[in-house]
Amino acid sequence: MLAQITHTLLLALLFVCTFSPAQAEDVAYTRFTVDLGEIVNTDDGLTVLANEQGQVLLRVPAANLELDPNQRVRFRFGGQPPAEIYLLWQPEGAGQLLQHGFVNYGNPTPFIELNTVAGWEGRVEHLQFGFLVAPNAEVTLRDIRISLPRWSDKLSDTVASWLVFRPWIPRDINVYTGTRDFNVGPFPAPVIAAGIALLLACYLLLRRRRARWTVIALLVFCGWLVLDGLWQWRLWQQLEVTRDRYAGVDSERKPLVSEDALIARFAARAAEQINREDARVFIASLSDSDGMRAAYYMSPLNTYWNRRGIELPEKRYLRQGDYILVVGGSRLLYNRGLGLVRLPSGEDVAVHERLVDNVGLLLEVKE
Amino acid sequence: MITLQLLLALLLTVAPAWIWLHRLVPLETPARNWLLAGYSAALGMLATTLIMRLLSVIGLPFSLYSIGAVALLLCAAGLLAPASWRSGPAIVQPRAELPLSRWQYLFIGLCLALLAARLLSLGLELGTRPVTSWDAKQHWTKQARVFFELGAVAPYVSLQQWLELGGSGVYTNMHPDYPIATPLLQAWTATALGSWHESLVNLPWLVIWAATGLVFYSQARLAGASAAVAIGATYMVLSMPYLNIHIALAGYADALMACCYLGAVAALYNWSQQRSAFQLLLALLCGAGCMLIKNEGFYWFLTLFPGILLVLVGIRRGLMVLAVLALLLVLAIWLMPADLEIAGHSLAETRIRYRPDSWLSIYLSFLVHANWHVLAYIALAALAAVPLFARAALPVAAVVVSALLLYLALYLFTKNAVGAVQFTSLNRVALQLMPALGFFSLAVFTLLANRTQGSAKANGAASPAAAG
Repeated sequence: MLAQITHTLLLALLFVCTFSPAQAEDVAYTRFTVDLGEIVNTDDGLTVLANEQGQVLLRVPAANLELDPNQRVRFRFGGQPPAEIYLLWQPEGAGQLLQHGFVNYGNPTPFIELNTVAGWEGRVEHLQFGFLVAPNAEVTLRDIRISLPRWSDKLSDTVASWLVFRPWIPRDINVYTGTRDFNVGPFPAPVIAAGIALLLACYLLLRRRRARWTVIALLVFCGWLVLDGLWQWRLWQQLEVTRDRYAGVDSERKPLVSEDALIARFAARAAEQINREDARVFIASLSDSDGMRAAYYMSPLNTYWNRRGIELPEKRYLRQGDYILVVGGSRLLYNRGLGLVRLPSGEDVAVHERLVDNVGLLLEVKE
Repeated sequence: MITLQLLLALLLTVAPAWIWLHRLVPLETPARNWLLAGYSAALGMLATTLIMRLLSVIGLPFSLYSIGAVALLLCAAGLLAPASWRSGPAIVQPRAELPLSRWQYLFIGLCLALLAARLLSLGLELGTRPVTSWDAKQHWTKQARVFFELGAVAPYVSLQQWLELGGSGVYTNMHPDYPIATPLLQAWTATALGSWHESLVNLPWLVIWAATGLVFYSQARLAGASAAVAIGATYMVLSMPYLNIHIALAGYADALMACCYLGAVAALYNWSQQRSAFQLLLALLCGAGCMLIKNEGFYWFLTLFPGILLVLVGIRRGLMVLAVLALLLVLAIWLMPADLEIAGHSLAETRIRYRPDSWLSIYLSFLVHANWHVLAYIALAALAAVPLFARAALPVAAVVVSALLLYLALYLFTKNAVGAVQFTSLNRVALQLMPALGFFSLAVFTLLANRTQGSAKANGAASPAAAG
C-alpha cells in the first residue's frame, strides 16, 4: 500500500511540474538606456556609476508588454547589489507614472512577485527600473527578466530563500523566520511540520497498534534536524562574517570597527574632552538609534537621554559644567556666534563648544 | 591569565550553590551530578548577584576578593550544614536500565556532536563580537558598565527624579524599575577580568545556555526518559534558533529567565510525580529567582501555584478551586484601583481592552516563523494529549497553560500588543517559556511511551523497546 501511495504521489508531482500554466510573457532585458547615472562598462552586463544621491535609473523598451499580476520580475546583479530597487511604469492610457519600491538585503538575484503590486496590469507604454546604492557607487546589472514563474521556479526560489545567508541586522534579535524576506514564504517550519505529520500519519496507518514510540520520536527528530541543519549553516556563515570583522581586534577598538563606529568614535573623543567622572551628560537627538548608542558609548558617565521625549529639560535643571551631546538630527537651535543653545522650553543657555564634527556636537554649559 | 580569571569566577559562582544542593539532593538520585551542575549554575548566578547587592548595601566594593570571600563563606557554611537536611533516600530509585544498544550510542554521540558544534559556534560568535543588541546597549549592559566602574550597585530613578535630584548619586534610564540581576552578571564578569571587555562580559550567556541544557537533561532523566531520549530532547531545546540568537547577541535578560523558569517547571513536574521535597524546593527557588531577572518574573512565579494546588488537593478539587480563583481574579481586576502597581505595572498603564490584531503575529511567531523550529507544534500536540492520555501531567499542564494564558492576555488585552504587531517583544517573552514548554512536551511523551510499554507488558506481549 505504501508503494502505491508513493507511486501516486510521484505521478502527481510529475504532472504538476510538466503541465504548469503556459507563460504569457517571458521577457529578458539585457540592453538598457540610462536615464540617471553614467555607463562605465558594458562588457559583462551593464555597469553604471550612480549619481551623488546614489541613484541609477534605467529605461527598457517595453512597447507591447502585457503586464500580468502573476508575473515576477527577477534581477541579476554582479558585484554589490543595490539596497533598494524601484519599478516605474506607465500603463497605456493612464496619465500617471506608477512606482513600487522594495528593499534588497544583499541578494544578487532578487525578485518580486507582482501580485503584491497595485496597478501592475494592462499594456505598458513606459517601463523603468531604479536602483539606490551608495553615492557615486557602481552597480552592475546582468539582466532583468519578467516572467510567469513555473512550479520549478517557485521551488528553486523557496530553496534559495531557505538557504540564503544574510549577516545579522539589529532587528534579528526580535524574530527569525528562516527565509530571506520577512513576509515572503513558504516558511520552512510549517513545511517541515507538515512533512513530519504526513510521515507520522503514514506510519501510524501502516503500523497501527504495532507503532513504536521510538519511530515516532525519530521521525520528529529527523524533521528537526533538517530545520536545524539550515540554521547551523547560517550560524557558521555568520561566524565567518563576525570573525572577519572582529577577530584579533582588542576590546577597546571593537566598537570602532563595528556598525556603531562613527558614534563610538565621536563618543570616545567627547569623553576625552570631559575629564570628570562626575560629569552629567545630556544626550540630544531626534534619532532613537543615535541617541541610544551615544548614551551607551558615553557610559559610565552619568547620562540623561529621553527616548522619544523632549530632548533637553528646562534650564533650571542645567548647571555649569554639564555637557550637552548632540548626535544625528536635533531640534535644538545653536547659535555658534553667540555661544547659545535654545532649549525646547524656549530658554537660552550659554555654552562652550568643546567638540564638533559631522556626527555631532559637544557643548559645555557655561552658567 | 584571562582564562584563569574566568574559570575562578565560574568556580566562585557555581561552588557555593553546588555545595548547598549537594546537602539537599539525595545521593541516589539519578543523573545527580548533571542536576547539581545545572541548578548550581543557574542558582549560583542569581546568588552571586545577591552577594553583589549585599556588598553594596554594606558599603564594600565589588572585587574578586570581596565576592570570593562571601562565596567561600557560603561554601564553608554549606560544608558544615548537617547532611540530615537531605530529604531522605531518593524516592526515584535508579532504574535498572537496559544497556544501551549500538544505535543508541550512535544517536547519543550524534546529539553530543551537534551540541558541541552549536556550543562552538555560539561561543566563538559571542566571544568575538562586541555588545550588539539594542536593549543591551540601551539598558542592561549600560547599567552593568556603571555598576562595574563604581564597584557597587547604583540606584536608578526615573528621568524626572534624576533631574530633581540633580543626578547626584543616582543614574537614570528608560526602565529604572527593572530588576538588576542581568547587569550584575556582566559587572561580575568584568570584575573578575579586572577591566571592561566588550565581548567577554557576555560570557554568562554561554553559561546560561549550558545550564539550560544540564537542567533539562537531568530533569528529563528523573522524569523517566532514557539517556537517548533525554539527550535528543536536550539538543532540540538548546538548538532553538531564537534561543541561540539570544545567546550569540547576548545582553538581554530573557535567556536567563528561560533557564530559571525551566528549572522551576521541570522540578515541579518531577515533584508532582515523585513528591521529593528537594524538587519542590528547587521549583520554588527557581520560580522566586525569576523575580530577580525581569518584572514579569513575578507572574511566571505565580503560575507555579496552580500546579502545586492540583498536586496537594487532587485534580478534581484543585480544578474547582482554580475556577473559583480565576473568577476572583477577574473580579479583583475589575475592582482594583487603576493606579495600583503590581510588579512594576498598573491597570491604568496597561490600558486593558481586546486587541485582535495580535492574533496574526502570535500565529506567525509560533507556527510559521522558524523561531522555535517545530516545538510549538509538538507542544500543542502534548497539550491535547494530556487530558486524554497523560493525566499524570495535569499539574504541570496547569502551570504551562497558566503561563500561556498570561502571555496571551499580555498581547491580546494590554498596550503591549504593539510589541506583538511590530514583533519587538513578542518572541522575547515567548522565549522565557519555550524551554519549559519543551520539557512539558517531553514529560508527556515519556508518560505516553512508558504507559504503552506498561500496557504491552501487562498484556503479555513481547515488550517493544523502551522509548529511546
